[in-house]
Amino acid sequence: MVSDEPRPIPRPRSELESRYAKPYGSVSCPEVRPLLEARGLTCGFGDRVVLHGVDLTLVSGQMMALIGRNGSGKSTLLRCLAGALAPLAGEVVLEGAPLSRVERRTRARILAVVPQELRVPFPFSVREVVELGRAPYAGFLALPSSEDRLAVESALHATSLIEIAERPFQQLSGGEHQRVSLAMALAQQPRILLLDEPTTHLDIAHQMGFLHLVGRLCADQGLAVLAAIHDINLAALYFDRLAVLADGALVANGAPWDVITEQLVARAFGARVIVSQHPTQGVPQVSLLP
Amino acid sequence: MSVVARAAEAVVVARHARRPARRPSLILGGLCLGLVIVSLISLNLGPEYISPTAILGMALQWLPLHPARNWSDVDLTIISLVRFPRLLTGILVGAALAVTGTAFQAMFRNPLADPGIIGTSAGASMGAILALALPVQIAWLGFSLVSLAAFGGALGAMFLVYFLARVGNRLPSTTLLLAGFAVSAAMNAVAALIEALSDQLRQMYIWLLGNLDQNSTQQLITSLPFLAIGILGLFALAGDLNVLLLGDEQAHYLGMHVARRRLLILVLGSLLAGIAVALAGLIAFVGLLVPHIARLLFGANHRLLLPASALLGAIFLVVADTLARMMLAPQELPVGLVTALVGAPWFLVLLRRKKGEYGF
Repeated sequence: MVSDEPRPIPRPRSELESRYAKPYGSVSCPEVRPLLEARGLTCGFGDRVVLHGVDLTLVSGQMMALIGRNGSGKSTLLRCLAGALAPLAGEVVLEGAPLSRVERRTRARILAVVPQELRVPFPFSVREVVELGRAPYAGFLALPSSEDRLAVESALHATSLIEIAERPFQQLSGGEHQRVSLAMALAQQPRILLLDEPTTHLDIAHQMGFLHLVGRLCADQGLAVLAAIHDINLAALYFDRLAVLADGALVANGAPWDVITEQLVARAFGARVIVSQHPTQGVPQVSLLP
Repeated sequence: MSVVARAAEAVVVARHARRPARRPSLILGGLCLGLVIVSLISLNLGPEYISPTAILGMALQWLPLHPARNWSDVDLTIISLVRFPRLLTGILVGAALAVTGTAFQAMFRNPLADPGIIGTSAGASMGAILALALPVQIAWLGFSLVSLAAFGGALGAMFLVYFLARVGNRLPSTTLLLAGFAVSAAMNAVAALIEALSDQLRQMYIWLLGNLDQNSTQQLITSLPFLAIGILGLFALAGDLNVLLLGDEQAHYLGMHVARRRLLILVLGSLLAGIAVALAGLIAFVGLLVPHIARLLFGANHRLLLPASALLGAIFLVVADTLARMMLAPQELPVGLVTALVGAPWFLVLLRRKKGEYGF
């Protein structure tokens, strides 16, 4: 059990990141305690089984990407880990306790989910949307406490939204929507962040900006991050660890160079690629072979 | 600790400095004042004009003050037996319908939701029309058989829709809306059938258009605690309604037991809609458009929106009822007609002006 616990693997830092990195870096964590574990997780809808016996461990300060083709079970795994879908077999363990026994609000204070796209049908300001992240802390009838305000304010700062905090959410761009969504999750003050294809609707600059931001938060706040993502190159650039799902089973789980091989991509994605080294970041990248 | 406290303080100060001019206490205070003014005007007007000073005098008489008597016994009778119960009905029904509409629109994330969307209106009409067709006259706690049947029909329809819409232990809003639609259609058909077979058609038609002039003080006193439970209960759920706007899944991730919360909102809303129907018949428009008007004016945060929309609904229905009494005096128009005639243009003007910011 203990032996196969993953070690945090330092990911390549950009020049800017190295310059501002704290002296103790991201390896300061004295004990690597699993925050969220999937043990033999089997999930599905009715009699259709989507996930087969998945084992996965998330630890503090680690960025893990969940990659796989469409329909491989990425979103289902995230929903199951977040308690929105009850497992058919196996269990999810949150900080040592079975997730099914953790009270809903307690769960929401530990684990936050950033959806693919946040939809707010009525006119809310950015700040009002982010304040919704305080729901798991609100008492009956409770008006926002100073602690709530502090959490909202620091979430807005961390995502650089403070300047547009009073603007209507509906008038913002897709990239800003994703940052608001992330800020709402941060307002929950979680230790675990699950992201469901957060970059799908973004252009490349916003994809990079968003994942860079998540990486920085992960390092600064010691968050455990698990993001479903289908772009292998992005995953290799920004994540410490890649978990690969194929047909509902976990087929690989490790550092980018251990995972991304031509055989594995062919098996998991059904695509022919050539794997090469990124010219400056040193991580594996795939080139498509038509 | 002190660092955190100081940071918190700085945050609060900074926040107030930057906060735009949407001040809740000012808005709610203004609306309360508006309601008082509108109520006084409504009490003044009628076939017999009664001066505001006389009305204030009568009000003070209730308190242990003894103002100089400047009104006649006839005036006192008109106010206490006719105009005041009618005014109170307008305030209560307007507030109940507007709050329910606001809550249902948020819960269903649907701008077309109104208090009757889960079958309550259709259930109430069927009950009332059935009662009107029956040759019996009984009353209980001051309520006529028609009112009681309408209330029963509304709650019956709500529970029927709830049990039809439940999927396992979930309560998805799509199935609720569809079940509500189906139950409404069936009950409206039954009501139409009874109408076609009955000779009370005119009375039924009048009931269906809504009317504030059918209540004794006793009826109002009986319904007051239930209305208070419904309205204050929904006020207390304002934060949850905000969260439900994000959809079921996100609400779940924010720690909410969505099905339970939704059932609670459903029960409180149906209680309000059922009592409103029992007091005033079917009054369309208030529960659908007053929430939109309030949202356009005051934003979508339910902590402010729910009380603002309650006050706006009350003001709106009192104004509409006063107009209904005065426009073609001595003949009275059904108040439901006036609400649509007055409210629709107002709403359209607001919608045109704020078009860009109000996209569903």
